[in-house]
Amino acid sequence: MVRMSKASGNASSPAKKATIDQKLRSVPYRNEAMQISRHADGTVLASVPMKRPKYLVPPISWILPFSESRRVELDAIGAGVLDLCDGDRTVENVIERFAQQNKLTFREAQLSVMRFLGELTQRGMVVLVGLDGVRSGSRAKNRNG
Amino acid sequence: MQIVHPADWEMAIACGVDEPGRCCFVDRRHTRLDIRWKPLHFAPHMDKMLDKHRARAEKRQRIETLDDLPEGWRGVLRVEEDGTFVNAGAYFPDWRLLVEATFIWPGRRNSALEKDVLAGTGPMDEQGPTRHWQALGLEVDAPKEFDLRKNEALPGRIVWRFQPDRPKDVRLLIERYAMPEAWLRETLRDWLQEQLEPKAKVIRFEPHMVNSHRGERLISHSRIGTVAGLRGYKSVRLDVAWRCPAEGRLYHVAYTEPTRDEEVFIPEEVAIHCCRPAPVVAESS
Repeated sequence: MVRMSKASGNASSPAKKATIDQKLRSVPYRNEAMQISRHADGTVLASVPMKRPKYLVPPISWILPFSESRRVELDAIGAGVLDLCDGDRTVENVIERFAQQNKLTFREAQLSVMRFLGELTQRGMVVLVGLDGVRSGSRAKNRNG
Repeated sequence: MQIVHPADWEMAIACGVDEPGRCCFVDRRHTRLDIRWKPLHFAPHMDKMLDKHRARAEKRQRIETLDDLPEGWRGVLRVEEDGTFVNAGAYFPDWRLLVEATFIWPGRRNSALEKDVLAGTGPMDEQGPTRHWQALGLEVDAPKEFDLRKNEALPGRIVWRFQPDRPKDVRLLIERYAMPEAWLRETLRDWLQEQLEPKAKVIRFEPHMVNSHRGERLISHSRIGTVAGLRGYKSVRLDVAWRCPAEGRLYHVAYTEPTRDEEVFIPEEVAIHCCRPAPVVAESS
């Protein structure tokens, strides 16, 4: 569902340590600093601002190019899931809606959506609130600069 | 083995061929049922097994013997901080098989459901030339000599790979794709061709009806080992794919066999059941 135009960072997801119950109860929020451009075919190009690493100062920055934002392309299905992350729905609700929209069982949808949300979290597009609240929220804030 | 379970419990663990028998079922949040089975040469003394279990457990937790389980089943109930556990066992003498079931009740225990599950759990008579496989939304009848060698539950995709003990080069692959509009960006024919190995040679395409759905059938050939190749053998593969609109799923079957013939046929006993109603996912509060 995700096509990257730039290699992702190595931020670890706090969701890895959470129980399934915690993950389902958590609420996915979209990164408000992210810019989204929608295409007619339903795909989405998201541009996520990136924080400049502290070591990237001249003369290192003359050699290593730095992009101010990371671009991620989502297909129509991925864009649909991103739209469901409105800050009101829990992950469980997102999975339910996704299952209903695509004629899936809860388990089938859970497998796809959880993995996809993990990818979005790693790329700084979404943050899951309610796993360990402050930690995941502050990480997203720092990344947004 | 037949296990009857609630529709919203899905299989999370299934043992492979030549592994100790085990199936584990989960609901949305928790593991709910763990079933293990093993062949025994002699009938076990169930009371002694329960006594041992009780002796081990009594030191640290509350434990009760259950007397109202279905016929043949003996069990105990353990109450721990994080839930209630029911361990039950039954020996099936005709099959010389010991089956052990563990229920996990994180909330309130449902003893009626427990009894239904146990009453519907046990070895199954294999009558006829086929074996019935059903899990994760896929329902298949396959010849008895074909064992399920690999089961993959990927996002939006279930893959089962069957293979008989002999001949080893015969393979049967059955796949079920959810969200076909995401996978099928081209025609079914083009998609089928993409599924072939890179060096495979397409021999023939033709329309094919499966379960009253219009699908595609593809015959392809690929090279085989040098010795077999010199003897005139090649690997012949038959691919069949169709969309089931009732389920909103794409099915794909691939049968491969080394042969001197130009064409192979999927064994007659193979049946894939589709057209089941779309699942209804309950919304949580």
